[in-house]
Amino acid sequence: MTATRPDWSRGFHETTLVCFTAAALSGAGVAAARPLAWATGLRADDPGRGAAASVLTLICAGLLISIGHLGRPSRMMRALLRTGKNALGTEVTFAALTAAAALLLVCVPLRAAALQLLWVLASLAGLGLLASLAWVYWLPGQIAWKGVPALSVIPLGLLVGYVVHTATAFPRARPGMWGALILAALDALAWAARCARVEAGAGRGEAAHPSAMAQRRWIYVLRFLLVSLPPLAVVLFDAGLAGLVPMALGVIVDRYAFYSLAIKQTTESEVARIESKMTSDE
Amino acid sequence: MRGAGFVLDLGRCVGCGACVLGCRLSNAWPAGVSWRRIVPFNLDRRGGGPTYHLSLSCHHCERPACVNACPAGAYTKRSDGVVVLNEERCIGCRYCEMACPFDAPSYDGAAGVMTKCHLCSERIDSRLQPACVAACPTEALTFRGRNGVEREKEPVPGFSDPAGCAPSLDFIPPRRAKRSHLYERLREVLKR
Repeated sequence: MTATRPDWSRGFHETTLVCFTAAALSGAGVAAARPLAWATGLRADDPGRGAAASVLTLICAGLLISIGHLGRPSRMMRALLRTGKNALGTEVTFAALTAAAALLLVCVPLRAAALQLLWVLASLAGLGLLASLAWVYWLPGQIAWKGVPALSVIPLGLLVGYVVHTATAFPRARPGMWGALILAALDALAWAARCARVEAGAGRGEAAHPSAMAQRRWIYVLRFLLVSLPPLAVVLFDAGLAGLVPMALGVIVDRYAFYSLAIKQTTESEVARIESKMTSDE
Repeated sequence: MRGAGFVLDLGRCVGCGACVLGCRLSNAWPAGVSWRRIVPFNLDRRGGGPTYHLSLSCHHCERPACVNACPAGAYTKRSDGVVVLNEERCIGCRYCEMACPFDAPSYDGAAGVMTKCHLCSERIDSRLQPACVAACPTEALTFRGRNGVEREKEPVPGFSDPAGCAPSLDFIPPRRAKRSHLYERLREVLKR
């Protein structure tokens, strides 16, 4: 009886994680990108209540969806009581802080100076959430995630946030296009690095979802088209909220790509790699 | 000071799977769950038999990735080094499954929680051998108690520690002429 381990790659069980991280990175990005938008021309007296409402909605929706991923959601409080003690706990802490700041921005009438201060605090919490989203997936055994791929949520979140501010601000108060172009370029570079990592890791580790891995080139192209082009439509052609629809789809494709193209270094993959090396040497 | 763990004699293990069966019977694995597995080396390529077998379960690492990752604090590392999972605390987020480079935690879909080898901690507390060790007919798999004899760590082809977890699993290289020759040749190939 030489039992092998159960096929952990069978079935795509990360759908709720795709939705949670897509919503969380978008919400965090909207909060975090506010100072960048100010720096490139967004008028500071714009209260941004619509943007704050989107932060609140996205993060709360994301957290609610994430419960669906748990095998035992009834024990969720156990994890919430330990927030800040590990990567996942830190993620929940920053998500709660960002949502709390957004709630105040939406509900409490504040003077301009207090509003700006609160946006700065929300921005810091949003940055913390983006960083913790990266930290959660900085796992050494996961070849396609560690390093730049895990960090890629930061430029993506900031890009989404910047584009949301551009699309929702009053026409005269809009931030400049250069911010969006620079963030889109950074995001495209991070995406290229992720694709290169997947290509390099394909022969070294075990694909989490072999069927998605077989179609990976389509995923590369689709993600690029849906995430990198909409910002140009929003800032150059004034596409407004319509430009956000493909981008939202793009963020979901990005998260799907992240989980479906995961590659884990396992003993089985290491044995296969060595056997193949021996075969090629003979 | 090292915690408890396993020692695998690569020259003695014949890949019979008795350790897997012993563990399964003793711990009543839920359906679709595996706590121990055997990874044969070169079985497909060399018709005469594999160079060796790796009998693997949780390695009760010195720096366990699962303990650090778990958001619910369901994992604990006992004073004797055994990493145990309290299934009553597990929320079933499967993050430990992503973090462990050895695929030790296994998800029980029916119960919605992770499960894994606990080194038969109740048995070793009663001074008995873990079920897998007791079942091994060739004495290839042995139990090393806390502060047991520490062996020189030599890299074993096919077994790596990508996450720096320092697994508490020692290997004894094959000693018989044919197997040790193949083993050394393999290591030479890997050095290139």
